[in-house]
Amino acid sequence: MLIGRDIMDQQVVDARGRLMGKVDGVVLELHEGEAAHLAGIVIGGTTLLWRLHRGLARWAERKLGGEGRITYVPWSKVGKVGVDIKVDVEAPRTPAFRWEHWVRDHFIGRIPGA
Amino acid sequence: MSKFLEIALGIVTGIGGFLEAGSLATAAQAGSEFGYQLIWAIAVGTACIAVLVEMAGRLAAVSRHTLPDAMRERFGIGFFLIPLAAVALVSFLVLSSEIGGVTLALEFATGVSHRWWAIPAALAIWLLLWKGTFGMVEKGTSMLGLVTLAFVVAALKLHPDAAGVAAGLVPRAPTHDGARYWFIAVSIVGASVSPYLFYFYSAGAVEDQWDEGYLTINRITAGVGMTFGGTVAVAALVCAALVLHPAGIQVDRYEQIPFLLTSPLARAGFWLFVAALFIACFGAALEIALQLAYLVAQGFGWRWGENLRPRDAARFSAIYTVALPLAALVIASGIDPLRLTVMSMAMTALSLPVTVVPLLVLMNDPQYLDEHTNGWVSNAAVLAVSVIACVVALVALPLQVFGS
Amino acid sequence: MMRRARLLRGLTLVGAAFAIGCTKSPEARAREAASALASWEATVHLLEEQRTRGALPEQFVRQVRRAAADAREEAAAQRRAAGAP
Repeated sequence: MLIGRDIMDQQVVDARGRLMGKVDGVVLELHEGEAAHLAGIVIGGTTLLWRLHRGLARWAERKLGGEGRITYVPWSKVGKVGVDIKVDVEAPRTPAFRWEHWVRDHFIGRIPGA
Repeated sequence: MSKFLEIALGIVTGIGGFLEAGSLATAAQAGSEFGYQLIWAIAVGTACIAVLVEMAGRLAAVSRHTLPDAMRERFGIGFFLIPLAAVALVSFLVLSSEIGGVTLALEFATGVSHRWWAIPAALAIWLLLWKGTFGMVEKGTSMLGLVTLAFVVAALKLHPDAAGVAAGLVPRAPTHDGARYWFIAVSIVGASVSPYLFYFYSAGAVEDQWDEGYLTINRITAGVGMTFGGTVAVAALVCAALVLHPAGIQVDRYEQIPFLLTSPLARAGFWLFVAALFIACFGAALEIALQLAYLVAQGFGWRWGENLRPRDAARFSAIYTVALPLAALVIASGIDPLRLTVMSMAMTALSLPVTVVPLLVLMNDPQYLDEHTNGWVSNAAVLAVSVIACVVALVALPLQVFGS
Repeated sequence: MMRRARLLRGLTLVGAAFAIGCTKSPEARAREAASALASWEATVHLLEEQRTRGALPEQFVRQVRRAAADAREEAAAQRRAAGAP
């Protein structure tokens, strides 16, 4: 399995089949004397920004005082089903839906007929 | 739905959905200024879009990915942002042009200035996306779009000389006004090969849950549908060549285009023109707004789907909810709609390599297409058209804007 | 990042060169204005012909006449700017 080809930027789907976002980053665990191993995947926060423009990412983290609310899914909860990466979590309970809910509650949800 | 009905619907969509503000405006200008000489440009553009649409459908059916989805995965976020920005910008310009077409149809029908119609038109489009389903949008626009066949009827009534039309299919150098000729040629290609067409098609294939069993349907609907659609654009050009060209009229504003139908069809022609302009541009606006939402939502992995209630796909719905009023403001501001339309078509041509090459790369990746990857002929043909269109646009655009 | 910045700078320079080098000459402007005028004269002619045939609603005829008047004004202004006689 190649991280770049099979994991990065793949669609992530939660335990109930809801679209959660794309894999924005992965977390590798490094220990003295051992090979690095994949600890988990990351969605959201400033993760994507680090891949695009380091300067911008650093500025964003200064403003936010950290990485922002990232969704971290440990590797034990990750599986692959067909074309997407299925994770054994409930998306609404993670920060992954924070923006979705914000837009729903403050904008879209306020328009009649939503 | 039986396979036969699917094919029929696909072909009707190709016919009804082909003509919109861009293809009408560029066909009218081409016919009025150069007679039959630019028919080949429509043929080239049509062949190109037919091939691209078939590819987008094949990608969706085999890989179960939409185009933006697959693009982000295959190229990573860094490289994905470039085509994303290009397609989004160009689509926004074309969306404004389509809203312009809708407002002009309303101005011709009512006498009220098109600038006043911009916001109501955008509202109507938005309402249909808000409340409607994908099936409604797809089937509605294609069925009603058949009114554009009026151009074919009109063209036949004008008794075009078949040999002349056939000769126009052969690419040739202009007899006069070289810079202008190539500028219109490039705008025609941009009008035919609009990225929103194949991006929308791939999202539609996934919305309709296509699988490998649909590959033949896909080939037929793309090929036959687009070819018939291109014929409608050629008909519009022929009308312009027979009505405006001999009179020495160059199309400068939309007000000159209704003559294409009123000359052969009198008062009925006028109302058919209004209906055709309204429906064609309204349908295109629906598709482009939706496509913008698909593009961003699928690229970032958000929930998406026209069949979902807006609150269940909030960020997706927010995209078209924001894009539509902004596009309407462009028209309300008083920018000349015809100039905007023709410019957006030229910009589309300019951006073709950036929007088309990612699709080509994906179409040759067995990870996405299994054994259904492209043959070298389609690769070469599409690449050639995109690069040539871009290069010609690079030269012709400044010459058109700044003069020779 | 560096390569992208350099590419952007190169493209802007090319664009600027085009803009400066390819501006319309006064003769070209005058020619364009003359052909636009001729085109709109022909448009009004066709308009009146179709109107007498009853092919066009009155308010559309008024719209086209207005558009023709605007276009004529624009063309006349362009000719003046080009310093044509």
